[in-house]
Amino acid sequence: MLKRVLLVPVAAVVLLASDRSGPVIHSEEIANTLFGGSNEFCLMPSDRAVNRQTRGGGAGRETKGDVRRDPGDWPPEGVKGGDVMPLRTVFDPYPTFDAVALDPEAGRVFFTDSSLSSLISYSTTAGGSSAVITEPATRVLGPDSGIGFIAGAEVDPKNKEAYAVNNDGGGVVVFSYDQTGAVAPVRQFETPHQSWGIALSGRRDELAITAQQLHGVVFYKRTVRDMEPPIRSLRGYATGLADPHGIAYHDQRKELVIASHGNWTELRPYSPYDPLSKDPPSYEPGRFDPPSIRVFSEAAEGNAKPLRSITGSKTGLNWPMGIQVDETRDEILVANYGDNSVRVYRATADGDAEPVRIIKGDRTGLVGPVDVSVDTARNEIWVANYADHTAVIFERDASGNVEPKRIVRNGPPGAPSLAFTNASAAAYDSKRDALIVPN
Amino acid sequence: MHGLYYDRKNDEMFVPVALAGAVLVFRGGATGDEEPIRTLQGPRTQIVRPDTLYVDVEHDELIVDSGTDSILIFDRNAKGEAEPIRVIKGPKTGIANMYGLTADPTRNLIFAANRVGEETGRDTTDSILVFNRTDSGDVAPRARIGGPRTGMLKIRQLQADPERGQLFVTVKNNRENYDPKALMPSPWNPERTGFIGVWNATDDGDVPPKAIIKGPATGLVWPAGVAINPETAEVFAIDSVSNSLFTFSMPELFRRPPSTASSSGR
Repeated sequence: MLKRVLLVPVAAVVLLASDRSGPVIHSEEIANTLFGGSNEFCLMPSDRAVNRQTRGGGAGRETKGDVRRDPGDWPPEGVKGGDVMPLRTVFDPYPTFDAVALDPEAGRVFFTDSSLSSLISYSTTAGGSSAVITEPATRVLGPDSGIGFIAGAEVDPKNKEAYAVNNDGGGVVVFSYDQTGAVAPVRQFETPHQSWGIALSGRRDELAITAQQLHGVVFYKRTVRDMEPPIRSLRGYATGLADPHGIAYHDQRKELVIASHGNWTELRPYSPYDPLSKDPPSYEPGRFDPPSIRVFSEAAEGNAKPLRSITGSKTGLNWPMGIQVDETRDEILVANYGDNSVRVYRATADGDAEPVRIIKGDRTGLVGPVDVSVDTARNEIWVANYADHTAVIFERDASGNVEPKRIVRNGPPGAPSLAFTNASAAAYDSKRDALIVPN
Repeated sequence: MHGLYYDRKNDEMFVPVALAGAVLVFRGGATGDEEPIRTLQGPRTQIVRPDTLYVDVEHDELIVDSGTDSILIFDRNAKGEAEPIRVIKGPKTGIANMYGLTADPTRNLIFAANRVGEETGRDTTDSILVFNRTDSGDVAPRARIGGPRTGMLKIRQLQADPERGQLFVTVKNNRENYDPKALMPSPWNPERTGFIGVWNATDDGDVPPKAIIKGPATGLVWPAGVAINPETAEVFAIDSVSNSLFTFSMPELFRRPPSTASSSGR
């Protein structure tokens, strides 16, 4: 709580120093930019652009159509309540890692923090067996950062840039490796609502981003900024993508690997940026498919079929989150949130394939693993825990119920992780005197 | 998931799953990787992207946001590909972009929270639409709470208090405009914070709330969820930006008027 109290005056200073003036882009302009012309991503007829619904996203600036009121006039006199102190507060004062991306050559590893909305980096030599909170190398935070409900992370070793994906509006924010504090991103670009994972292909000089409610992937030029549209998309029934999360390129095989939870329903556009669902042509009801890892040609687009699909009971996939390709070992690693494991498959695996090895058990320190990254320079695997205030580091070929080599701590041992972010509802269970919060 | 209802009478939890077009029902004490006891999903249900729902235990009905601008009413025990027993849908209803749904079985009312803007071309202000419980088809709402005096911008969860005839509403109080240079909400950005507002169930029109929880002392940035425990006079708020759960003691809101349980006056 002390940190939180201290953040208030810091925030005031930051806000006073901010200069956020700039042109507001309205939905019609966005639609013309994104969906006009010959853009292949154009699924939305331009004449319907003005009727788009605006959901998600994050700014706080008034626009035409806002309900305008003088703060002095509202609320009117006699209204009960007001600025009351809470009786109790449940709040996690420590970060929650939601994704990890590592640059072996630079010796830097970046984590998105979805609890306190920040991007944190460490040296790849960081961590140990100490109970002390690990000192980060950098931490980007604050309203100027454009970081909101943050999800996936990626690094660009060539240009020394780190990417962080906002899941509930706000697109992707890009920072140079050494930026720290309350800073603005070097650039920012808009993406579909519920974007989650991100992968960079240095060879193709392009970015691939998964979007949950789109059930697909959108691709951008690496240098994309602001409201530039994607250069292509991959989505549709034949892809088998359903609520996709983790994504990684396999450059040697010229393939793209994508993890899906398996939840499927019809697309509903949330923002002016989301395309209308023109494909599939007919309504398909919601369904729960088995979780999967699907492998595509790196140039796949449209409603393309995967080259291979890892799915079935032998795979053990359960809520697969972030994934990473270890090209040297020709393996796919996945953070399997549902059973607190990291599962490793051959890159050529297909069908109901068993993993070649599994890191799992009470000695591993895996608690809600949400993403994984390989340090090819130090022969290590980094795993971000969502349900604990840690990241755990293993030998690159670790298997079974093994202890981590080191632990990076973003909170003291035993500090509970709330493990809810962007929560939007509550229910009171009067039978058990408990509050239920869906995540 | 953006909704949840706990049914004390039957000790069940109802969860709308927007990304799979389904409603799942769990035991009240469910924990871990437990299977639902009922699943409602499929084309005959008309459920597409449900965000919110309510269980009317007095009339044994399940009320669901379809995700396609309609309210679906099922038997409470509906499962599989059951059809709704009533559907409130059509241009007269004014339902657009629903984010909150609750009901007052005592007064036979259903409340739906619209979150709309100029981009939809259908409305200009957010509002709460009030329907009769037994309404069906393309019917106009019997009342609409909305307008500048309400302070509503981006409504989320609704929670009814039938015993006292009042309605708790989470208002995030911002508008997105997809300005890439605009400030993101964050725990450090106090600009245009939201609030919890309380209205009478019988309110209609551009009516200010009779009570609010709002301001820096509250800690609320974007309140998105609200629940109540009338027995302890507590209001619970979930904040979707600071990822916090706040409990407020509000005894003044839970006193029963001596003469009537449903007062629309202030």
